[in-house]
Amino acid sequence: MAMVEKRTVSLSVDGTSVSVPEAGTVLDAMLAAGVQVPHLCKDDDQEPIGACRTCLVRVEGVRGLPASCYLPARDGMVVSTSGHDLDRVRRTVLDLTSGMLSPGGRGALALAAEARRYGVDGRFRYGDLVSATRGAPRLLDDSTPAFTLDLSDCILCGRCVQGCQDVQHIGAIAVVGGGERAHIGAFLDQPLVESICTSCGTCVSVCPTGALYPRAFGDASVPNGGGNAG
Amino acid sequence: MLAERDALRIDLGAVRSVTTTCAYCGVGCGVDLQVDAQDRIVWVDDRPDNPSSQGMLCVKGRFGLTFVNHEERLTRPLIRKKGVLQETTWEEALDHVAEKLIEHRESFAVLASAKATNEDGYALQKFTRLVMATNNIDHCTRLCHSPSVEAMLKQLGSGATSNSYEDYDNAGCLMVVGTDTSSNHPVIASRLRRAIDERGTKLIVVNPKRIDLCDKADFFLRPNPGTDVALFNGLAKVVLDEGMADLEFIRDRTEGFDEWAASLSEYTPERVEELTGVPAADIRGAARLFARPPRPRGEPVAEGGSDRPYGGSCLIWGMGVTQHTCGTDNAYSLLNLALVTGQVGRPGNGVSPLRGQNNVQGCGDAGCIPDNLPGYQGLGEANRSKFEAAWGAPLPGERGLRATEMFELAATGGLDCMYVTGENPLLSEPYIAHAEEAIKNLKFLVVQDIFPNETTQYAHVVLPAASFAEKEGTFTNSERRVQRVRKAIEPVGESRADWEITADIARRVARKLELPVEQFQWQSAAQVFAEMASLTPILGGISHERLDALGDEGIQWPCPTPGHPGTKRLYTETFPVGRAPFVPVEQGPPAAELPSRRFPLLLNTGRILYHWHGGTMTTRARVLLQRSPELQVAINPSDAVRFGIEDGEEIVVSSRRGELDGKAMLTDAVRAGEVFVPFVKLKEANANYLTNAVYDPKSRIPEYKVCAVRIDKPGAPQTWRRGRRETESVGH
Repeated sequence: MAMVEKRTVSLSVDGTSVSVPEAGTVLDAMLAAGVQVPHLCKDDDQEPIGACRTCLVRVEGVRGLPASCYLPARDGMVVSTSGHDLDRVRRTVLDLTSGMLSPGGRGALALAAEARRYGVDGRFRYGDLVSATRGAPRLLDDSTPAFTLDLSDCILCGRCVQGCQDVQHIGAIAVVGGGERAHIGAFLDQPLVESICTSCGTCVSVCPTGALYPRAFGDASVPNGGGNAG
Repeated sequence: MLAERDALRIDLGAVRSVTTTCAYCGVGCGVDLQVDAQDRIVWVDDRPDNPSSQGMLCVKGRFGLTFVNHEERLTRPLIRKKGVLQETTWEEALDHVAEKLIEHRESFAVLASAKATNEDGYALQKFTRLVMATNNIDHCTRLCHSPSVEAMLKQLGSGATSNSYEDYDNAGCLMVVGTDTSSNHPVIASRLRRAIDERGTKLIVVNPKRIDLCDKADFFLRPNPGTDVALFNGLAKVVLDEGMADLEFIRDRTEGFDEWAASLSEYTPERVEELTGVPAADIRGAARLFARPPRPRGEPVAEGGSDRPYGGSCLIWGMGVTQHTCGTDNAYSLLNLALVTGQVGRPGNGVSPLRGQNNVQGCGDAGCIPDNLPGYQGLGEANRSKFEAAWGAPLPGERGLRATEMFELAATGGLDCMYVTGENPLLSEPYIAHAEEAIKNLKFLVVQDIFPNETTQYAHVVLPAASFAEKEGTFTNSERRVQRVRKAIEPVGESRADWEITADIARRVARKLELPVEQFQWQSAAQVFAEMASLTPILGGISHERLDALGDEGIQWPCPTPGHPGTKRLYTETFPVGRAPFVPVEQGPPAAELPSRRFPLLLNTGRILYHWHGGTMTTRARVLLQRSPELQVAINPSDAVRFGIEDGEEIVVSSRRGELDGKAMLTDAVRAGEVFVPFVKLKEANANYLTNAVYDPKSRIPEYKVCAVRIDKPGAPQTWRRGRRETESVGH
């Protein structure tokens, strides 16, 4: 049987021409072109979520600034990943995102490089608005001995929820509550250990900010009970 | 060097990442062991490209592999002097072992390890057959799937899983029998849930205990313990009566149909309901679903869709089928159902005995069984002369002792010497007190393991083995996929790979006996595998080099030549036995021991998610032990009322053979009159103090799944014990 040739599409990313498979996204093309843009909620092995808005791009002839992770690649697209308005908007997004995190915490550390790169230095202080209004019923869940969920390091990207449902088909956690009360939690906000969570750790492996982090393995140095490093 | 994926942005101090295969159950998940500068595992990442696990992991694989770094690891050889085990040198230990093995060569048996690699197994059986001149070698399959193997060998011609996990993705119906898949093979359970969620696959659960998967089941059949034959005969009878038999398949691929069909005449749904407690309507419904499932929604995975107008059905089973005195008959009745519906050998169907240990498939493949040379080549003249030519000495032709026979023989003084590797019979044999007597009877016992355990206490020599993380090799998983095991850390202490230790012993013994010493001169695990492949047609095309070149893929045997892609599905054209015979089986007594006035409850044993088997590994992984530190005895709330027991209360469970302390867990997952105890040993309590040492006559598997027990508050058992003696004296 003859091999079916996989169709590809060609597009331009910041002036570089790249080809990706027909089903690929603009983010795939950007990664193929070696362009570094934050994409916090996109797991390499999962479908896009489109929640974090850090992978915004400008596409000639397309209105607004779409998220590249969700945008199908098309032949002849002309994509730019930087430029005055794009940098400004991305900086604001990162500032708002950083504002969700406790200062100096695990999450802030994980985002530090990107924040520096886009000039999020606290001057804009949009983030303060977010942290001032955001309230969650429980900030720390260390009920399972395997890992800790520290909501003060969470940006609500939803990768953990995706891992729990789409990878493991367990569905123990979700974004619970709405608006400023939205947070990651189990059914009825139970402690994880009392939920259907099996401590498989998939959520930990996909968390981009360390809001979910493993407790000490074996005899390593972090004491039991973890604690809020933030 | 670290994983290329961007996840886990916290610095855990990992300096390298090594891709290998998980050491827990038989699913065979790909893992990346991330290791720090002190050779400690600090994180375990999943492998999305591994076809068996597809990026999934369970809590044991993710958080439980840290046992390799536990401080209790055996680090130096031990030798018993003046009754006490003392540290010694490898030289002294090996010389002593060699001397004693020569002395007891006439009365010697080996327990191989299904935790160890294929290479370890091959070296061990070669030593046993070539140097010790006996086929007395077996492994734990005797305690788990020997009835499945027995039945599958007779009806199909091979004991291995016929299909691939991929067939679960493409099935129209999954029938899960006697396995709590979410606890024992969590990643398979995830895969089943995915099929159900995304493709609308139907699910039939057969289990006396309500398991987590029941939440998604279309039918939950709950037979009384020990009545599986009646249930499966009943399902088959519905298939016949309602014209759902696959007549073409029966005509072309099977034999003995008429006689078998006649044997079912009594098993009407109504009579089966009386025998099993399963409603007749459910028996009819489940039979229809299994024989004629709908095709699943959406595109088939890897072009493996059903080639019939209806979907395929996968039959998946575990110890709930096998660990009975009628275990082999149970397995026959399951296979009969698969044959009559033609649900084997096609895309999206097949028969899968889920394997419990990481390498229980490979251990058998490598020849660690008493009746076959490597690759299930029988002990007949032709096969033996092939191996004799390669190995340079005559080989024994008589079938050896099975594991359970070794202990029965030792108990009566008929066996002098054992070499036990990576097994802990004093935790895993039924009726431990009895097994202990057997072990004490041995004149010489050498144990090779990674941790001290109940069995090492009685050893004359203890040899420290390297763990899976410290050596090269291969494991073969439940879907016959041979996968690489790679060295991530240096061997702990002076521990060494099992095959190296065995080769050292073999050379010493062979030299004294003037047998071919050069047969044990391997320089690497890759060389051991190459020799095994050269003599084993099903593995003939596999090598470490080829596996490494394939990345995460692995190769599913049979793979006879280096150009062969491996085999996803067995029996597509023909069975190794030719035509598959139907085997008529009758429902006998449900179990050897049933509830009585003094022991009014039925005990069922099994596993829980957070522990693995006896717990030698999982109780040494902090996360798992903290998650589940004590033995929970599942009791129905109505029994709790009857015996005045509250949730979480300390209780004593006792049988005619022993007792254990546990914590009552009230749940309607078990029925009134039944209790469930996981067989992990926690805080000195172990279910096998209770279980019954009675065996399936066909496979010699012990009846772990059923015995009669009672529950009491602590302190209370004294009363019944006194009562028992009184009653007995009255009886005499």
